[in-house]
Amino acid sequence: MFKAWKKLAVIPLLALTGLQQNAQGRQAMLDVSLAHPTLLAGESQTTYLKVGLTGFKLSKTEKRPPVNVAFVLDKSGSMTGSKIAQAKDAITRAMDRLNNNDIVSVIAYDTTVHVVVPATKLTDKNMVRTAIMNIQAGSDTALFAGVSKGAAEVRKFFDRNQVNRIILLSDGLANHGPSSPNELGTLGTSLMKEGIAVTTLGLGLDYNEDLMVELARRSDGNHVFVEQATELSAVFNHEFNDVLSVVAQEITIKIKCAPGIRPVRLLGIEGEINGQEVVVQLNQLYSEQEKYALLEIDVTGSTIKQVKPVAEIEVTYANIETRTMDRLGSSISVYFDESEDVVEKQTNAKVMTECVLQIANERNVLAVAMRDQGKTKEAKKLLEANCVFLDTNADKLASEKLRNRAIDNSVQSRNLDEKNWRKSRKVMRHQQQIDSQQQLGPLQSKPIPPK
Amino acid sequence: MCLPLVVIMGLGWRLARHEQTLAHQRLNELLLVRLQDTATIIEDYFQQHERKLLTLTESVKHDPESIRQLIRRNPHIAQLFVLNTNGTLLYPNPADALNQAERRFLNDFGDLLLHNDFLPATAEGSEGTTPATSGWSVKFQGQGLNLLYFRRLPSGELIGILLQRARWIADLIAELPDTAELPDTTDTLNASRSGTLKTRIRLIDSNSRSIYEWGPLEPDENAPPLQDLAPPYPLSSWRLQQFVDEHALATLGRGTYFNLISILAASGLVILIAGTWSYREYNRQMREATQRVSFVNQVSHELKTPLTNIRMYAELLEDDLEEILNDQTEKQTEQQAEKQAENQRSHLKVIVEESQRLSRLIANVLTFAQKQRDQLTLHRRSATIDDVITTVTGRFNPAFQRRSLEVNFHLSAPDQVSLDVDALEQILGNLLSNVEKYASTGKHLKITSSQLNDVSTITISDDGPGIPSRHRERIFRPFHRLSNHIADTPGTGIGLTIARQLTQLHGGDLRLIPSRHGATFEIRLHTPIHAPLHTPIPESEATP
Repeated sequence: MFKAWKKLAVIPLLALTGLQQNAQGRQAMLDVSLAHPTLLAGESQTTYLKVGLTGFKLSKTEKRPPVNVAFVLDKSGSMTGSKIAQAKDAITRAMDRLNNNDIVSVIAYDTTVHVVVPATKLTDKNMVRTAIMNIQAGSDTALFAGVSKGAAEVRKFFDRNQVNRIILLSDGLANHGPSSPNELGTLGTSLMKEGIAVTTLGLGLDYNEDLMVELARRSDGNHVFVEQATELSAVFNHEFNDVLSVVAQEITIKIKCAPGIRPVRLLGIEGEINGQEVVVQLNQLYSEQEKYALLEIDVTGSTIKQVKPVAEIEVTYANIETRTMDRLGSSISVYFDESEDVVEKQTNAKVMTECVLQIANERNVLAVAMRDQGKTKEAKKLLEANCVFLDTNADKLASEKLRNRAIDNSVQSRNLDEKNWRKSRKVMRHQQQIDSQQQLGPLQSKPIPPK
Repeated sequence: MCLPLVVIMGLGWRLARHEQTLAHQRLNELLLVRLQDTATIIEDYFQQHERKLLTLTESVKHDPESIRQLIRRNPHIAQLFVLNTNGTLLYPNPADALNQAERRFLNDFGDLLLHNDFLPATAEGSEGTTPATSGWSVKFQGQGLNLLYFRRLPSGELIGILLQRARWIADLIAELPDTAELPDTTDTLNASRSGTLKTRIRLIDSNSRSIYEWGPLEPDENAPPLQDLAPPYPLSSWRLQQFVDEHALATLGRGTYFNLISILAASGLVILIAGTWSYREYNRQMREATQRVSFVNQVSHELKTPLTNIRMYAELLEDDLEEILNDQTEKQTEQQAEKQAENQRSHLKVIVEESQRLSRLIANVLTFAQKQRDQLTLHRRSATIDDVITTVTGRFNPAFQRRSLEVNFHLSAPDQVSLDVDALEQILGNLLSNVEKYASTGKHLKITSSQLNDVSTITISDDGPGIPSRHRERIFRPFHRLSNHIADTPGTGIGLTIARQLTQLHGGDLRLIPSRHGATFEIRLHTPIHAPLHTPIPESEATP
């Protein structure tokens, strides 16, 4: 890892970072780089452009932005007993981290929806706590309606200068109202446009992970697979670490590709490719977190020693500290050389690592789809190949993270049988979401012993 | 009085036979109104949405960049398209480099645009023949019903907006009510006792899939809805269904049956109360009429007695005077002459006394009449309570002496206060006259007075037979007398009434206060300390 950084340092920095300073406040850091800053002369080639944005550190002494959070709690029959008790306990504990500038609402749903606590400033924690404790488990699961009501509560006190979020906890299949991943996903898209993120916590082994992941992914919230209700408290705590460390919101990344550069696709993160222009939108950036967009590009061949412009990048975001709309700009070019050695030597290991991670992630998604179609053998083969792919690149790029993912894929390839699939699928979907959204999920920080 | 009750009961029983169907009908109507209200919520949402979209289409810039920016920002829009007058697509233009969402849209809705058949027949146009310029269009695609809003611009171009399906569904859900948790939903007995009828309203889509529902009732899987109606366009292919607890519905009749009995019981009670009241009222009026007659009799009698006395004693005096004239020639002894003078003086006293009684009586009748016409007013002037007491008691002295009644004074109200002397004289006169008339068996009369701030209090206690406690308040009513017999004791029955009215007018009250024997009346009067009226502090002089 360290070596890779050294290499990076030698590379002439081609990115002309033209940071536009806002008056006094700190800004997110923009990093624009190519997987191959130098390309082989003559041929048309494929490489990856990375646009990374790192949130500034939120100092603990400063006043954090207020939070407007809706807890949407599944109270269907399956939650009866310790599950709902643990969930209620976890929510009330999480609430202890909030103060009376924050806004809270609580929605519980089974077949119908009950707005337990309509959106209110958290001045009377005991009232909210009592209301939460009175929630009782009922029957079916009208998840869509629950989220709809949650969104309505968040909207009541909506303010772009606060962190607006829905935290959905469910342990079951949505079986009342719109229940397809697409329907929940498009709802997520719509909420993201408003600046509301939905974090989905899947409890146990019976929830629909596709639906929960889709809702989180499209609204740029987090998704967590919570196997045991006892973990809920820690999960909520982690979620609140995120919620309370938001430094930027409404992030738009625009990449304008130069002539001769064709944007092919985005890896992981979703976005729009309109001809030469690529637009990626993110809901928020956390303190000291890097979020990046990886764009696969085709570069038409060029003669040796030529500097060819690749793209101009513009990033806008709402700075939560200064409450201003900040704008960052940058542009990047590529060199051409005839020596393959030079090209190889100048490869940006960090960007390559991220590319490998995203490509492997795409294959992992594919493996799940295969297993869903009953092609267990093919899925197994794909995961094993993925393991090798990750392992090789882990050596080459000296990446511990890739090594861990190789192990993950290997483990997953052995858990495709009926007995383990239900759980394994949830683990995989969770991890896919972590990688594609670069989520700061708890699984990411979980240490996996090296080989 | 029993007859109407019986009739009502009879009618009630007849009514009871129809009551169950009636109750069902009424409930049905009520519930239907609620369901229609729900449909109105949906209608309002789409109307509001339509207005917003109309404004939005006015400001849309027609370049792809602006349109894409709009789609990225607007949470309600899935896709937007622009057709020129000929019906060819200006955006998303298939010849341009399109993004994934645009391609997907053309894939799903391209046919629709090509055949221009998204302009609905049902859309509202100004005339039936002219094509609609804006409105909703419905298209079944993918998950079900999709909504398109279209608007033809004056330029002839047409803007269409595909709404984000999940979003308008979510918004509708947010507009519709939620389900408050019942205290204990499993206890049906409790629920029925609480008297609330459990219902469930369900919004279902064109595929009979429940989109959203609310209400505490959990209907059975195959239970038919009590009511079923279509929401207004553009959601007219969906349904709104209302379910009602069958069990509660069955017991509903019984419930109203019980209600009927209680209604009958209540009306019976009302009739009884009304009957009793009219009976008592009738009695009261009869009594009052009798009392009025007796009042006239009493007044006549009361007027007659002093007049007779006055005439009698005046005649006696006349006789005496004749005697004196006749005897003038004869020489009288000094003793004889003195006795004669004494006689004459006592006759005069009686005349004075009786005329005072007469004027008191007339004053009472006048005051009573004034009060009846609300013309009773006070004429305050500066006076001393104790002086008034002494004056009035003085007038009764001969009578009291005749009845060997001893009067004890404890007077301590010597201040000059603002007071209607005539009113107080009348009050005291009436009370002392009562003592004279009714308490002459007693030997003592005690009169006290005191003053505290603006309130003066006078008590008059006798040791006569007293007044039974049940009469304590009644004695102040007009014409109320403990006995109505003329022969018993003279009196009009308005003395105490007037005395009390005058004290109340004077900002105080007259009460019969409990005492061990005899009767004690307490007069309280509002008597502000009198500021000398004729020596005001000249304010203009204070500041030269």
